[in-house]
Amino acid sequence: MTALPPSRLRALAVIAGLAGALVLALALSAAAGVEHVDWAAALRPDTAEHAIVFRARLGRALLGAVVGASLGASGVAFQTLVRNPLADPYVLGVSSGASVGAALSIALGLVGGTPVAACAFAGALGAMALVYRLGLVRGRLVPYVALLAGVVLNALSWALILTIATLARLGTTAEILLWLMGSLSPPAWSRLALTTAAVVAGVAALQLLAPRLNALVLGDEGAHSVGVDVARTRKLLLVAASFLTAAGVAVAGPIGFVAIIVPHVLRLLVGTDHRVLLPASALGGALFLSLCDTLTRLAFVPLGAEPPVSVLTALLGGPFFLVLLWQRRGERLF
Amino acid sequence: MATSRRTVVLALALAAGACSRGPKTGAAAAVTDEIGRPVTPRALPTRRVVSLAPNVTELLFAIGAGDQVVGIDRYSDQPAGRVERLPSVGSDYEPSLEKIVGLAPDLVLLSRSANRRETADALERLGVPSFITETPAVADMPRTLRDLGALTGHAADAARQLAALQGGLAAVRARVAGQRRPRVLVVVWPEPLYVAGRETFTHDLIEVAGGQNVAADARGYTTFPLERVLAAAPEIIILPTHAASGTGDAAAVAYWSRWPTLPAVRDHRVFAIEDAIISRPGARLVQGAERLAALLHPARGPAGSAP
Repeated sequence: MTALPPSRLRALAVIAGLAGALVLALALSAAAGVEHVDWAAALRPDTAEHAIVFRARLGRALLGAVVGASLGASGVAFQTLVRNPLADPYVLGVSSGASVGAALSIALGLVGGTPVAACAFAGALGAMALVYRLGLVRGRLVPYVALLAGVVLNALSWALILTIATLARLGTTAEILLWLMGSLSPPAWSRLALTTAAVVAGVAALQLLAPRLNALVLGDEGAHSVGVDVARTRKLLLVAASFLTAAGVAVAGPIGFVAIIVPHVLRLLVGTDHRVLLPASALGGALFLSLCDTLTRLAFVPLGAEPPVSVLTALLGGPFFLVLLWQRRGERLF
Repeated sequence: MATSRRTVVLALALAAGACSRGPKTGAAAAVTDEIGRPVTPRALPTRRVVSLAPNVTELLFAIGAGDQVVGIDRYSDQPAGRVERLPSVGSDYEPSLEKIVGLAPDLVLLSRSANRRETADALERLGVPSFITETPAVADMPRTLRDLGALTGHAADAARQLAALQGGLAAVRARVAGQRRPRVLVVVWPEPLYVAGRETFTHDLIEVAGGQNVAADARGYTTFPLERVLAAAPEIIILPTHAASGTGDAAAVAYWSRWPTLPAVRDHRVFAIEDAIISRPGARLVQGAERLAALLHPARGPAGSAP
C-alpha cells in the first residue's frame, strides 16, 4: 500500500475535521436556545419540548447547514468559472434574480414560505439564463461579459425590487424588506427534504466537474491542451452552480458573505484541487452558516430581537477574513 | 437666557409670517404639535387640509372634518366610499411635495409613525405649515382627537368621538371582566417570525379584549424566537392581514398547521383579522376590540348581546 502524499493527508484531515465540527455544531444548536427544555419531555413526540428541540432548533440548523453548503460550493464554482476571486452568486445577479421573484410574489399577496420560495427559485434561474445568454459570444461563454451582465442585472433587479416595494400596499413593503434581509426559519420537513435533495444534486454535479475545474484554473489554452472542452465546461458549471445557489437562496433569502469567504478560507487550508476544495467548501459553508444561525437565535436574549443571520455572517466572517488576509499577505490567494 | 431670546425671535418671526399672510386668511395663532414643534396654520380653524397618514384621514372624517380634506396619502383607505375621490399625494414615506403645495392646504397633517420628519421640514421650507401627530398607544388617542378637533374647528365632534371610543372600549372591558384571560399571539409575518409585543396598539387592544399577549416581554413589532411561542403555548393566534387582500388568509391560517402542539392550532383558533382595525390609531378601534373579544371569549356573545 502506497502512502498518501502529505497534501492529500492534510486535505482529508481538514474534511474530516469539518464534518466532525458540523455534527458538533448541529448538536449545539439543538441544545442551545432561549427556552429551558426538559430533556425527558423532548424525547417524547407530540410535546412542545420535542417541537422546540427537533423542529424549531435542529430543523432550522439543518436548513442553515444545507443553505450554507449550497453557498460554499457554488462560491467555489463561480470564482473558478469567471476566474475572479470576487465572484459570487450576488455579483453574478443570481441572488438578486431570486429577490425580484420573492418581492413580486410577496407584493401579489402570496403568504408563507413555499410560494415565495418557488418564485425566488424561478427568479434565480431566470437571472441565470439571462446572464448565461448575455455572456455567450459566438457560442462561447466569455467570463468577463457574464460578470458584467451580472453586475448590470443586479442594478436592474434592485430598481425592480424598489419599484415593487414602492407600489405595494402598506405593510407589504415591510414584508419585502424582511425577506431581503435573509434569515432562516424552521422549515416544514417536506421543504427541508426538497432543498437538501436539490443541494446534494448540485454539489454532486459540481463534484463530477471538479477535474475540469482544475483544468480551467490553467487558463483556456491550458485547459484545452489537457483535453477539456472549455466552452462546454463553462456552460455546465454555470447551470449547476446557479441551480445550487437558487436552491439555497429560495428558502433563506439573500445571505451574504458565505459564498465569498468560505471558498477563500478553504483554498488557504486545502489548496486549489477542486476535488477536495468543493466538498470542503460545502462542509465549511454548512458549518459556518449553522453556527451563525445558532448565535442569531441566542442573540435574542441580550438584544430582545433576533438579528437576520446575514448580519452575523458578515460581522463574524468579515474580521476573520481580514485577519487571515493580513497574516497571509504576499501569498497567492487565488 | 438664550432660550428666551430665541423664543422671542421665533415669536417675532411667526408673527411676521402670520402678518404677511394676514390680509387674506385672517390672523392665525401659533399652536404646538404633538412632538413639540411650533406650527402656524394658514387659517385656524383650517379650511383645507392634506392628510399624510391613514389613521389621521380616518379620524378627520370621524370628527366631521372630512369636507376639509383636499388630499391624502396613497395608503389612506378609510372611510371607504369617501376617500376614493380625493387626490393622492403619494406614499407616506415619500409624498410629492409639489402636489401638496399645489393643493394649497392651510395645514398638512402627519403622523410620527407613518411619516418622516424630513417631509415636515421640507414643507416648512416651502412655506407649508405641518402638524405632526404622535399616537403610539391607545392612551394617546384623546390627545390626537382633541388636537385634530381644535385644528379643524370640530372640537365638539372630536369630544363626542372620544367619548364613543372610551365608552366602546369600556363596554368591551366590562363584557370580558372576570373571565380567564387566554394566551394570545399576534403574528405579523411568519418567516422570519415577527410578532406584536408590548407598546403596540394591537397589544393594548388584546388587553382590552381580555387576553394576555404571550409576546409581552418583547417591545414593538419585532422578531421573536419560535421556541418561545412553542413553550408559551398560545391558545389563540391572530394574523393581521391587509384589507385589500383577503385571498391569502386561508393560506396564512393553514401555515400554522405545522405546529400541532400549539393549543391554538389543535383547537382551530388561528384567525385572520383586518390589520387596520387592530393596529391603526384610527376611528375603528372599538370595532377591532369587539372583534378580538368575540374571538377571545366566544361564549360571551357578540357585541351588544352582553348582559
